[in-house]
Amino acid sequence: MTEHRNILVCRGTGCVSSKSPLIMEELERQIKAAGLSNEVGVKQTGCHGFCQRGPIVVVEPEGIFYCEVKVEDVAEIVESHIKNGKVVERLLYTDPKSNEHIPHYRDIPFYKNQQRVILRNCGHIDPENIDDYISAGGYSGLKKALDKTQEGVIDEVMKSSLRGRGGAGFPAGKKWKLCRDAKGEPKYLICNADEGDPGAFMDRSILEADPHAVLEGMIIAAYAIGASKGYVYVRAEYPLAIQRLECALQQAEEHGFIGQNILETGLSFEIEIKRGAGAFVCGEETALMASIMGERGMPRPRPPFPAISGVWGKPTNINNVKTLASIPVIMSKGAEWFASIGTEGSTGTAVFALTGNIANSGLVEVPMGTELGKIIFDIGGGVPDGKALKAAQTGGPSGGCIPAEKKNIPVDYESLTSAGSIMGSGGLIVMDEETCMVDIAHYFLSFTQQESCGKCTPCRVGTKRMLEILEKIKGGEGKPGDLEKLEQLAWTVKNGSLCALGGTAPNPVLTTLRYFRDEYLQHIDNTRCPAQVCKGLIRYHINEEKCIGCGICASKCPVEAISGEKKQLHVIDEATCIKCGICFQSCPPKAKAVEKIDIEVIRAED
Amino acid sequence: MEIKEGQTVLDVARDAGIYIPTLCTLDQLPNFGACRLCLVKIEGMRGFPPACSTPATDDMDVITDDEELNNLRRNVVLLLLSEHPNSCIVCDDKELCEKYRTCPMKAGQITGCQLCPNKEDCDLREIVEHLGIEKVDYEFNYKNLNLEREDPFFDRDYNLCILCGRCVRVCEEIREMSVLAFTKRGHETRIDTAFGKSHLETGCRFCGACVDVCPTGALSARGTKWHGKLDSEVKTVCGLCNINCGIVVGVKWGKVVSTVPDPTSYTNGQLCVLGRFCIAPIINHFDRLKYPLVRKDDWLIPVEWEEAIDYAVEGLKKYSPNDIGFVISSDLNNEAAFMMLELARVLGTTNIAVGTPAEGSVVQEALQGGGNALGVTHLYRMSDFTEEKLMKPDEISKLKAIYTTQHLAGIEEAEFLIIQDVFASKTSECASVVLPALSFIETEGSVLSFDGTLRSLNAAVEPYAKARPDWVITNDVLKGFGNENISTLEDVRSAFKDELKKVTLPEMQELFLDGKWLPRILKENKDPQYSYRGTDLTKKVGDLRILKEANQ
Ligand SMILES: Cc1cc2nc3c(=O)[nH]c(=O)nc-3n(C[C@H](O)[C@H](O)[C@H](O)COP(=O)(O)O)c2cc1C
Ligand code: SF4
Ligand code: SF4
Ligand code: FES
Repeated sequence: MTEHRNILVCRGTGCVSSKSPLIMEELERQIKAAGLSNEVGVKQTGCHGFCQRGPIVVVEPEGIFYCEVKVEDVAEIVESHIKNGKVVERLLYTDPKSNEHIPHYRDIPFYKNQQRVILRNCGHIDPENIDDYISAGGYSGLKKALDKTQEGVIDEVMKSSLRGRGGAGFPAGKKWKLCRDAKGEPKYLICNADEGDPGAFMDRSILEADPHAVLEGMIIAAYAIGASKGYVYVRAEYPLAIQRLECALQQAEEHGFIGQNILETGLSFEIEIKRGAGAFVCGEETALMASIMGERGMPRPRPPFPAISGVWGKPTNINNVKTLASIPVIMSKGAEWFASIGTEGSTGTAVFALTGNIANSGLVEVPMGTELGKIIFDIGGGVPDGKALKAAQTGGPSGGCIPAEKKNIPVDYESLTSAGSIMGSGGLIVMDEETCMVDIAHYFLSFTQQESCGKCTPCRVGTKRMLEILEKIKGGEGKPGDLEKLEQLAWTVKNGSLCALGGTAPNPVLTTLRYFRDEYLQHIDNTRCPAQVCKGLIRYHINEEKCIGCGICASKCPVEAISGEKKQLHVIDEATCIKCGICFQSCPPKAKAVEKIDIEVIRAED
Repeated sequence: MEIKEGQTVLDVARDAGIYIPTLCTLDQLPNFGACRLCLVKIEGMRGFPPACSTPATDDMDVITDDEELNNLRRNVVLLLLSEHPNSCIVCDDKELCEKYRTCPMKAGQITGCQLCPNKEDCDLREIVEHLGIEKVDYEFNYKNLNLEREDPFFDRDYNLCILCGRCVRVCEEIREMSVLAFTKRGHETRIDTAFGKSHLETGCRFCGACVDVCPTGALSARGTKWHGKLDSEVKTVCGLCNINCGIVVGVKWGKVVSTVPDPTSYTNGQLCVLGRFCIAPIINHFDRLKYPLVRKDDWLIPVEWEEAIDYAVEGLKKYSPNDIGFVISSDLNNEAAFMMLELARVLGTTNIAVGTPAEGSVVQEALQGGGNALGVTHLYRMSDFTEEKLMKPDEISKLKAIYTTQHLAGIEEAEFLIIQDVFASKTSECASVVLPALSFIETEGSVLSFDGTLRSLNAAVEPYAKARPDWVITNDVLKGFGNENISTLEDVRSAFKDELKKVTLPEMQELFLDGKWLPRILKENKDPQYSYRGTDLTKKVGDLRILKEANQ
């Protein structure tokens, strides 16, 4: 036995749901049974951002990365790796391209090409242990900040050019200064952890894996602004994040980082956790504040901005989880260091939840300005199953679709905006060639449409009218002029809406119209869905020559639309068929008899 | 352009006479920014900021009207119209229809302006005309919501609702009742009560503030919604309690058809259920006293006024002053009350009772003590009466001859009973003489409101049937006793005006510092008494009875 080892078991939401707590228990039990408790520690961590391959177990200090670990594997890890120093090959990460095992965390392409600043501690420390955080350099930023004047702290943040990570990218330092200069007492600080984009889980992961980073950022901000009370507004669907946050809050209080007279400086700051009911719009700052005050989460016009009149009419500063989690490192490593990462206009790093048709999905952090293609191909491992990339949607449902030919676009605020998309809070959805862009626009818009708070006319009614046109186009009932109508509506919703939900809701439609107009026209003019996705424009058909009569399709069809004797040709009754596509997917590869056919083609044949 | 502290771009534009369309703003309420019609262009600002909520500054360069803005506004209104009944806007016969009203007015389901209860003052329609919208390019999406008619006083047809939120905000912020709320989300967003209960169940006070601010026909006062354009409007004050809120009486075909709050009144455009919904049904009630009546052979027979007055005078003359009593209703206006006291003085009796005096705080007395309680009190004090010297109802009922100005249980047994009242009642059925009086809405006169201010009553309509103003009737009786000093209203008034003007209640001024004082005192107290001149108003207004029963 050489040096002291730590076995880190991921207990983020993803790995917990794939039974990592049982793995941890088993590890603890076996290490103890083997009498190794003094040499080997078993520790929980937060999310590694690679939940797709969870549960994840990492052995430090070597940095051996085991994935998809099961409880039954524990014995082998202990026996082979811990006792005999022999890495368990079969549990290592396998590179899908080279098919080789990659033993070390740092060599896995998914991680190799990332730069983790905001996620610096995620997966490495025990989120429920403040000492772990402190030994990773935690709360040193706070101490540095408290040595400065309040203006000094704001200056440092300004110098870092940190922009808000909640979506709009407003310079954090500038916002702090506005709030600090605003008249009115007390002042409030809010951490926006509402994270309502479907598929986004950056903020949740940070709260679960590194809650102290957020708290430290909040304390520093509170000091700079002069806030005495803080709220973390976190969605109630994040029970683990709330639990970790509560635990961290208590520890921070015990250590004198929060409460009265923080670190003997006379500074007082308390934090309350508010659970959000889960409406997407409650992430919008004015709606969020209304919700904190017990009102319906409805945005209000700004001005007055929260910095002047926020919760309870008092000056309020509101920042995203990632913005606040960046603050401690800016303090400890300095603004210059931070500003050296990324581009001039967008400093630091960007965190994405990479999902969709991608080999490696998960949490990704890269310097601002990294090319989109690099994220998709180098980190994400590209589109699986040999399919081609068609587009990527940044910014969640209110972002825009960037076409494959623009894959060299640097990911920063300005470039994304000029491409018609937004940075948003960090969703990144990859789409392969089998995606219909009309369908995608419809999909995203139907989300924002349902989540509209209903207050202002353009967003409430305009998105509905847009959706209706898209539905018609998808159903083959599009008419010439529909696209112009759609554009007029999009313009009205974008420019007429009260808040950015409506202001950005048309983005998916506008960008797909911009980059994939021809695909829309195919739907309208030729009643054809080139990607064969829109149900109204395709039908399923069993090829007479290929059908082997296995009957699998017939047994799986939910509406019993397929008939045929065993070993005989099967036929789909089109009147009954609901076009779910199950037959298409279940037909054995060796037969491949079920075909998707454009309705238009049929018409031509008739 | 001059800009005052705190003014928005919209305020400044309005002061300068520049029109910017709006649907969701309301003077009494903070801006809301929901309708998006007030969007303008401001140099140096991104996009289209809303005029209603953007603070104005001196050096601002604002465009309030250009093709792009009109296009945006038109598009927004078209979105509203895609779900708001609009058949009239696109109807070929629009002009003829406006002129000749060919469509029937009353309809279960509203499909266009012609059938809408609000068509005479619809904000939406005004804007449609301003923007020159003649065609709606969308298929009409009727929401198909049920008409809500289960509650008293007003109907709700949310198919017409444009979600401006005015009702929700007035109920929450001005009335502080929060009966209404936005419910659901997205396109399905609706105005509703919490948990979809009926208004009665939620504790709604039926003040009607929500109805008054609704810019469409979604909320409409049931009793008065089909009268169409009014012939005239008359400002006066409500005489049902001593707050004497300012009201505007709507007159059509010579009848009172509606009462709405007077926004210029000291009550800041707010009312209670009585003032808002009950005056018209009370005034037009079939049970009003119409002709003078005298008892002949046990029957009450209609007679001319002279005969009735003679009968009353001759009757009274038969009794010694000690046997005669007077009942002065605290709903009488000053002039009428003064004349009663004057008659008592001339007859030489001190047997006076005042109807239904209330006890409690100043506000409680105002709400429960009658429409001119303070005026009546000061007038009898002027005649050297005090509370102690007044008779109690049970004392008065022992007298032989009684002259009452209201219904009062227990006095029916008097040998000789004169009643001068507005409604038929148990008392009038037993009376020897019945003198029909006009209500506060049909007479000139004055009241002394609870704050010590003299307020004028204006006659909104011509006298009802043969009824006459109270003071005129009593004066005619007085003349029968040879006292001919008074012949005009001015004569009566000059006798007490200076004295009543001296009444000041400075402590009231503090109450008025809060612009929402009326809703607040109504919220903290029960509604004003549901009675007028001793008559139980819940017996006259069915909806009021429903409200009372729900609150018991
Ligand atoms: C519909 C909508 C949803 C939003 N959701 C979030 C969210 O979940 N988290 C967040 O931090 N910001 C969200 N925002 C942005 C916030 O309004 C606000 O800009 C942000 O919290 C400011 O923090 P930052 O300056 O650190 O970015 C949302 C905005 C809109 C319009
Ligand atoms: S844009 Fe949408 S979410 Fe925002 S205020 Fe308007 S209706 Fe509400
Ligand atoms: S009538 Fe008055 S209390 Fe009732 S909902 Fe309307 S505003 Fe509110
Ligand atoms: S008046 Fe400004 S948004 Fe309605």
